[in-house]
Amino acid sequence: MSNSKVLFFCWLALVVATAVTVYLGGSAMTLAGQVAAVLIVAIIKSGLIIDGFMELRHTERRWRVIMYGWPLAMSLIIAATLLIPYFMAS
Amino acid sequence: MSTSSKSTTPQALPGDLAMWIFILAELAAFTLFILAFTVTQMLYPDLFAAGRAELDPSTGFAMTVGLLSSGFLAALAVERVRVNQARQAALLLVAAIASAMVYVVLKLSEYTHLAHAGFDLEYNMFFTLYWLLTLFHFLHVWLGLLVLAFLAWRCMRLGFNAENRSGMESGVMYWHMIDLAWVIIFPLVYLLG
Repeated sequence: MSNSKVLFFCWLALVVATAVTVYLGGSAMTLAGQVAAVLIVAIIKSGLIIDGFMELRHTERRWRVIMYGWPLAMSLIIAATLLIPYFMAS
Repeated sequence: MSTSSKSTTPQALPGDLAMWIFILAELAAFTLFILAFTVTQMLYPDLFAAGRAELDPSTGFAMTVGLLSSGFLAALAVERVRVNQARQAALLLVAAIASAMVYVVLKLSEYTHLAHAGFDLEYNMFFTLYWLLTLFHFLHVWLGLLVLAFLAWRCMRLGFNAENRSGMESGVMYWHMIDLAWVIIFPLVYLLG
């Protein structure tokens, strides 16, 4: 598959994933379920940008680890700060 | 760069190493703002839920699609430069700028609406951090747009080609970093909690 096609499918997946994110954000799930679902989609979207648009899928693993580390760390921090009070209250 | 390559040898980073270090520094700066937002949200969950209710997720969706489409067009422009089609790359970069303007116009509209409704920087903790975090990202978008405009100008003058493309790749990588930051900021500010 040409790189242009890869980029197109990444863009399409990103748009669909954004729509899914908005749907999940407004759904009547528990907070824990909503946070987990929305952040998993955010990490997938980050991967599409890092490996697709930035093309790090072709480069040394350490750069992918560093770049994937940022959305993973942010998602963990967001989840922890939202869910720790939620579980302490329940 | 073909994905059909059978080679297992890792390829070089697109763009200059200095740009990647700058990107990591920028992500570290975004981390500080995100940390401030999340920790304060943990302390004042009801205040943040009420503040978030004033924001429109569908506007956030449209802004996100504008930015992601811009990133897609900029990535296509890099592809064109790699096959010595710099003038086509210039047109794609102009389209990338136009797509990003969807984000800019909607963000300015949102800022105007909130300011007129009284939800300014000093209204409460949610709006203080909303303005600081999103304005920090908004300023990066403007810087990125200036970079894209400069790249388009250089492409139009055939300043990049398959052998001389590092500056082009570096500028576009910076633009993708702004997308990456927004992918985390959008659910945090508009959806979760």
